[in-house]
This record gives sequence, C-alpha cells and structure tokens, in this order.
Amino acid sequence: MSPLAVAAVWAGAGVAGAAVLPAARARRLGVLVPFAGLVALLLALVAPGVPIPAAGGPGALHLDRTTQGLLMACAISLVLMLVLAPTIEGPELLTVGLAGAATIVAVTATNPVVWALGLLGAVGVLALRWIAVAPGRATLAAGRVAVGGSAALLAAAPFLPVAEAVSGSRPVLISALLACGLAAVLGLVPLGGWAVGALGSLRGAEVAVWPLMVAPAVLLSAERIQVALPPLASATFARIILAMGLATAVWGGFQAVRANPDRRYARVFMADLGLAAAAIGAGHPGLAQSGGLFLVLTHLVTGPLLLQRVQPATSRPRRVAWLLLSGIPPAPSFWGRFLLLEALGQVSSAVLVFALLAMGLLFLSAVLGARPARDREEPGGQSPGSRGLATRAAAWLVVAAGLALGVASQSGAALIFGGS
Amino acid sequence: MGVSEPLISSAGVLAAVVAILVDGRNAVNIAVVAVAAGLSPTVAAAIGAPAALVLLGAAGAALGLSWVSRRAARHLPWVAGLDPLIPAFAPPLRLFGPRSVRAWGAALAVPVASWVSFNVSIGAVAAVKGILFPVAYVWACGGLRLLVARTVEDIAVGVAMVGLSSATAWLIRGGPDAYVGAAALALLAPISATVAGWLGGRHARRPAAST
Repeated sequence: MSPLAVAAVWAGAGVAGAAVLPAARARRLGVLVPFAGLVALLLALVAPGVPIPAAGGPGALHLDRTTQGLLMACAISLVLMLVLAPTIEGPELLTVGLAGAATIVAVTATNPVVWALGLLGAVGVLALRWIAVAPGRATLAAGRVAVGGSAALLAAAPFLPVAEAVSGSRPVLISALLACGLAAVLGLVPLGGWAVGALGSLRGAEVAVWPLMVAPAVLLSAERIQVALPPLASATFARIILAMGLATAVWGGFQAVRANPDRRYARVFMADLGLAAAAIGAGHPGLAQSGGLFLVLTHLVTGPLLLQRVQPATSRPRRVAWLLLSGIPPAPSFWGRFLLLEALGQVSSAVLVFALLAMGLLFLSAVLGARPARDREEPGGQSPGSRGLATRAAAWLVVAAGLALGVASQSGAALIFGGS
Repeated sequence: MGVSEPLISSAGVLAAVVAILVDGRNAVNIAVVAVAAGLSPTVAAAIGAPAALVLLGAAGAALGLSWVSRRAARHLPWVAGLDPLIPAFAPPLRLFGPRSVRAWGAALAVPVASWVSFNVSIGAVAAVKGILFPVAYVWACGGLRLLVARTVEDIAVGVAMVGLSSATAWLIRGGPDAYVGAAALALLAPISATVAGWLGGRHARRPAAST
C-alpha cells in the first residue's frame, strides 16, 4: 500500500465515521477511524532512505521506517484518546481523518509544494473545526498564525532546493521563511499562543490531533528539512529555531509551574516541543532526532490521559502519567530529555544552562501535576460501572506502556522506529 | 513590442489592493478573480500566455465551485454552524478598524516586495531577478490578511491570495513539474471559495427565529 493510499484510508475512514456512526447511534465505534489508519500504516510499503521535501516530483511520496513507526505510534495514541474520551462526536472523527491524511501526505512528501500543502491542509482543517467549536481569540489565532506559518512554507517552496545558492539573500530568506513557518505550525514562542490557547480551551479528539499527530510530524519534518539547506541557510535556520525553541522551553516550563491544573499539560507539552525544536538547531541531527522522537513518544503515551478532562476512573493513572513526564528514571521522558541535553550542551554553556532551567521547571510542574488534591475533588468516583471499568483499564494500560517504554527504552525505540 | 514592466507590476499591485480590502459574502470570489487577472500578465510575460490559463482556470473553478457549494448548502437542513462573516471574537474599540489596518499593511508591503524582487533570485534551471515584485506583493498582502483576520472569510481570502501568488512563483521557477505544482498551489483558491461558499450557504438557511 502506497503512502497516498494510506492517506486515502485515513480520509475515507474519517468521512465514513462522521457520516455513518452518529446516524447508527454507534459513536463509540469512532475508535475504528484511527484504527483503520493504523492497519493501513502496517500494510504500507516502506522504502529505504529518508523523505526530504526538497526536489522530488509532486507525486513522489516516500515512507521510511522511522516515519512509519512515528505515524503508527500517533495512530495508537489517537485510538487510546478516543477510547478514554467520555463522548465522541461525528465531526471529531472527520477532523481526525482529514487532518491525519494531510499529515501523512506532508510527512512523506519529497516535493516542497506537496509538503507545504499537506501541512496547510492539516492545520486548516484543525483551525476550521476549532473556530466552529469554540469561536474566540485563541481558536481564531490558530487560523491566523498556524495557517500563516503554512503560507510561509508555501512561499519558500518555489525557492527550494537552494543547494546551488550558497551565498546572497536567497538562502537567508528561505531559511528564515522555513524556520518561522515551522515555528508557527509548531507553536514556538513568540508564535505559539494559539497552540496553548487551543489546548487550554478545547478538549477531546479534535484538539488532540494536533499534539498527537500533526506536531510530531512537523517536528520530524523540521529535523529533515535542515539537511536540504546549504551551509549559510542551515546556519540561519539553526539560529532561529534554537532561539525560538529555547525560549519556548523556558517560558513553557515557567508557565507550567504556575498554570491552572487543567492547562498544565498543554504548557508541559509546549515546553518539551520547544526543547526538541531547539535541539534541531544544535547541529547534532542524530541526537536531536533520537531525543525528539523519544520525547514525542512519551507524550504520545501520556497525552491520551492528560489531554482529557479529569474523570473519576482515571484520576490515579493520571497521577502516574504525570510522573512519567518528570524526567527522572525510569520515566521515558528522562531518556528523551537526556539526549536533547546532550545535543544542546554542545552549543554553549549558556544554552546548557537554559536547557537545564527548562528541565528543572518541567520536573517541578510534573510533581505539581502528580499531586492528588485536584483529583480527589472530582465527584462521582464511587460507582464507575462497566464503562468506567473499561476506561480505568485503558488508562492503566497507557501507564503500563509508558513504564515499559522507560524501562526498555532502547529496545522499545528500536521496535517502534526500526533498528537504526 | 516589449512588455512594460511597470504596467505588469501595476496590475499585480492593483489586484492585491482589491483583494486585501474586499469584504462581504463574495469577498473570496472577488479576491480570486482580481488576483488571477492581476498576476496573469506577469505569468504571460515570464513564461508564455498559455501558463496564465492555470491562474484563470483556478479563478473560474473558484467561481463555479463557490456557487455550487453555496447552492448545495442551502438545500441541506439547517444546523447551527459557523458564519464565515461573523468575527470569531469582538476586540475592544480601536483607533483603526480592520480595513484601515489592512490598508496600512498593503502600504508597508511595497518595500518588502521590492526588496524580494531585487535581491532574491528564482528559477530551477536559470536563476533570474527582478520579476517577482507583483508576486511577492500579492503574497505579502495575503499573509497580512491572514495575520489580521477576524473572520473565516478573511482567512479564506488570505489562503486564496497566497495560493495564487505561490502558483505564479512556481510557474516562474520553471522546471519539469512547473504546471503540476502550480496547479496544485492554485487549487487553494477554489478550495477556499468552496469552504466559504459552503459555510455561507449553511448560514443563509438560518431560521428567522434563531438570528
């Protein structure tokens, strides 16, 4: 099965799920939408090499083992998100399907136009849905900034590849467009207010698609696009993304410590995303990719629990999930942050200090998140019923997967992303 | 007979100004037609007259699909939904309104587009400079329209402007996939018009009691 067919399965499942399941009063079967995408990804044709969106043909989509592993982890995370969700709406399934399809096209594209159009499609679908569900400054900002960032990537596309332009204005302009566009789609400071606002004001699968699928794919693309740039452009790109990423990590960590418990996870996610983005600019692509992927994997495990509203059935697993984000062994976040710290520490001592500060703040916010006080306030924890038991079992399964990932990190990463 | 560069640039500037300032239920259609008409001389001069058909075709498709989607949406049962013309939030009263901000943005985009035109080369086969002014100006105005958007209609107009200007840049870039890539980028215009038409059509069916 080609990557285009996989994307078609995601889109088709989303459209069919949104059209059929609410009418059949079987909304809970909405988990089948990302599950169908997962099966399609399992059957997908994996090719050697890495898809770099620089100079391929418009129809050339390329799925490598790492991308396949990441997308499969995203699909499993979305399945768990829907399993744990108290309710599932039809339009949510449409959003999952269409945004997932666009993300798959973007992350497997080797042509800059297809890549940028895929990202624009993903964030456009999300922004439209978010504005419809909760019209307001935060959701409109998603349309303004995230779509604007994708527009910057579209503007950069005609100038790629820039390998032959080693000096002058062109490499600098292109790298600035790419860095600012990717930073806007990733929600890095100072362009990230939309992401925090949307994650804070919306709940459920429609908002989870961004942290659990779109953002990880954009991060992987950001790691790879740098390879296609000549030295001058690569240096400019690295400087911009390093500064924005570090600022996001420190600011996100600081805000996570003082945030309302309902909004704390959004801040922690953004700070970790900032750390992973900063590492891309550190000049050690191997460490940056390994650390970023591991940190993303941690959030793919904990996100389905922590992106939900607090439910009685999941209060204890949520506390353990917060500890998985503490950055202390055997939490999987330790390995991701350790690798990123190794990359960032080689830039300068100042960068190392800022990275350590951000990680300290993230540890503190994880401890605050794991406190039991907030969960005990939730009413109705006495009689969960069969639905509550199933939710509780799924929540503990998520936590067990996170612990297993932390204990067997190397073999777990090899299993998911392939031997390399 | 040589092609007048200032005339070509003026057509692009005029189109961008119309597109960045237009408001109302047909804003996307007007913007798409204006930008396609304004950038067609640039494409025709740089690539050849047939290349302009990509932009004009996209504009025609946008008009047709917008009409079809609006009509289709009116035939469906009404549901509470998103009106593309209503601001998603109401900011406090300010000295300048949204259109004034856009007009100032359009003025500030002139030096930006000029710098891009004179300093940045484009071309997959042979790099050239000095022909990107109208393209960069339309793109900058589209980006500004996105950044100061208050409604879904604003976002749709911005996306359509960015799509058509990127398609023009892709055509000027040349290369073996020039037409396919440009067509893919220009598709953003009909998609934006379809979404705006669909949402507008759904809202037009709102019962009187619920307005």
